[in-house]
Amino acid sequence: MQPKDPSRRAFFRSSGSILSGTWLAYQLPAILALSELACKAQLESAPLKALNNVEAFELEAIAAQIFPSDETPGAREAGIIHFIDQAILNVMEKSDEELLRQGVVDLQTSVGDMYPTVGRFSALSNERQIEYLRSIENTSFFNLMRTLTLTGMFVHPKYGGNRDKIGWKHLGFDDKHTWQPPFGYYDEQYLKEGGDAK
Amino acid sequence: MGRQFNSREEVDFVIVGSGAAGGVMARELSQAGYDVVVLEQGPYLQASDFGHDELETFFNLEWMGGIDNEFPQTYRLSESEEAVLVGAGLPVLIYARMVGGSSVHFTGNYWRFHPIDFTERSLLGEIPNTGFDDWPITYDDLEPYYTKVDWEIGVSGIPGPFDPPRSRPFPVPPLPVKSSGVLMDKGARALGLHSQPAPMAILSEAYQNRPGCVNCGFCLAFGCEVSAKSSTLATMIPQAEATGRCEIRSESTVVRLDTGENGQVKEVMYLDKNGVEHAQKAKAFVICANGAETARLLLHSESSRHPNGLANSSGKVGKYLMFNTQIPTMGLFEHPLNEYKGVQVTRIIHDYYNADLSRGFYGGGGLDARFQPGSPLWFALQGLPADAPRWGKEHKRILEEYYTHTMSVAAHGTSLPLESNTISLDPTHEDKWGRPAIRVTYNDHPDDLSNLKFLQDMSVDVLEAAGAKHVWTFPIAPTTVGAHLLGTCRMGNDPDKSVIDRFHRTHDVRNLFIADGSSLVTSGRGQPTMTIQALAFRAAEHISGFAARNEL
Repeated sequence: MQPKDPSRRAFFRSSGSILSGTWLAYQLPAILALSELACKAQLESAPLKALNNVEAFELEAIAAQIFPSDETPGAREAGIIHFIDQAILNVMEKSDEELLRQGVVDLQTSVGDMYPTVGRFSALSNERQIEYLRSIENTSFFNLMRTLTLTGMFVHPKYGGNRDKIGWKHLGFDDKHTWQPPFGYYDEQYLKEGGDAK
Repeated sequence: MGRQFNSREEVDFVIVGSGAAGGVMARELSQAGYDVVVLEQGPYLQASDFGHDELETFFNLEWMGGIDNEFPQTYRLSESEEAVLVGAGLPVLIYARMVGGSSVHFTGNYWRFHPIDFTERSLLGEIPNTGFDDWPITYDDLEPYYTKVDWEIGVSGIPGPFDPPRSRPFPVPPLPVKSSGVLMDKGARALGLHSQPAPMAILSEAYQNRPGCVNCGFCLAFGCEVSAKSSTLATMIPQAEATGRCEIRSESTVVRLDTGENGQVKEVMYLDKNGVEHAQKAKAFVICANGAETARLLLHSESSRHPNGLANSSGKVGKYLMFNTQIPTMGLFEHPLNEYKGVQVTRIIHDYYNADLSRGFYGGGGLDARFQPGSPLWFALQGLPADAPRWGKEHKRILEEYYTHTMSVAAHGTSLPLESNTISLDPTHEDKWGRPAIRVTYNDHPDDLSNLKFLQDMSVDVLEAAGAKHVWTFPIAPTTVGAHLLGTCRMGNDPDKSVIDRFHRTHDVRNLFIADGSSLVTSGRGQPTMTIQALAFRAAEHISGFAARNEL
């Protein structure tokens, strides 16, 4: 793992850009600049280094709602919280780190107000968690968590997320470097019907 | 490893830039027997440096040569506005700082221009308030060099029904068709259109000591790990070095061209990676730095003899910037396509290549079958319909269903040359070397967007006719991102209206030549690299001739 390098601090590329280019039809989203981060995928039991326990519980619960575990594994199994921890530790812009930490504080305050006997988001029932997140789904805090969660799900596993390639398996993406046709159903049918391989 | 020259010795040619055009120029001039130094601002990467790390390569912009905030760009819609610094995310101008330039990460669509692209002004008449013009050369002038690109660079394909005449077949056959290509065939047939195998600068089989494509799927924005993609890094650059007369001097950023008493360029000033200034003398200079950097360099080379910038007595340097228009449309199908495998594009439709003013606007273009956004993270973040759930159980389910079952039809169209669309020097912001930032002023001609909408509608029709279960589009908006940097030092016979002559020599400076996207008079239909390289081959032949006849 490498220390924070100031030239690599473009951690979150602003989504508030003026651009809406049609070349890519849309802007590249806010995203992580993790290229100098050579951390290994974290074991489930490995201690977190940037997040305290409360933050970890709350943020992991949010990630688990964004990409839930159901019949197939989700954000918890993919190690998203370790991915976020590594990101904070290594490359995240201070302003985004503060947005995350303050987000947890605000979350606890408002959940505490709404459900005084529970106090914590992560201790709410599944339905109440979803209901609450719907009420904040347009906030910058939630959007940051969404981008972090999806990035952690589908990024190369070397960054600490996508553990056991859970995210890629979910998509049906197989990361082999060599393929031979047929690639899919329609080109296979085409070849079967005597189409030219080209 | 090529030869190394002492920067104090005068070489025959300095070439600025090592991309699609500069790589061709380097090989052609060195093979013709001249000593050549190529100055490239980015690093010298090798195929072994490339991989599939989407975060690092794509999102972190390693495909463009790394951190962009060291080289800020500013943008405005029109001259009346103050340009603003482009924030994080994609820059306005997309190009790569590395040996091989943007040919390293391109998708490899190698459409030739058609004869009409060179004479459309005469055919269609004037378009008011634009710089729409004929080229000083014709398709026939360029055809031998298109063929040279096919055979020297390595282009896969087979002629299609709307293709312009060619003097030789393709050197290698088309790449294996993907499901997206088969579905484009089906949609086109149902609509009475003509889908054809795409000409691609990616080898379908071994050719010239390079292997055929292994269908890994990581072309768009990625360097090729096996050198099947016909970048100049994989083709021209090593051949130039092998002559023993060419030095590729990477991490060398040219900041100024200095002229002597006779008005000729005497030397280029450049900075090494530590910011230390050096000079390189040469008999002649060829600028191949792309349609943004070339214009910036000339403007930044102003002097008492050239108060408006070098080679700019016409005032046209930096003007007529053209980006082309592009937009993908997405379609979901019943069975898996697995579009993440294989090259991006295997089929194209050129039925709407020609402009037809009876549509109510000028413009033409083409469609291609591809998968964009296609890499896993990019698709997860931006591939789904705007009205799809953004998180939760249903979002998770949709990602699983859609990723392997989706393709896109991308539309590519014309951009009219407008004098008000420009590259200029920003008066406020500087890059890390203290140069003025590149300022982009760009606003599509209304016809450009009407044409794009027309092509987008065609894309929807093709997907629906192919049997898509669900088709979704992205909003058409003003073009604020350009990967095709065209027109800013346009070619022409009239020194008052153009920057270079038909042989790529600047009208003003005898030993200064330009060959890259900036030379284009019109934008073509959305795939300019083939033409940029044909121009470079042709320019190199003329420049060699001038040198041989002592006419530099």
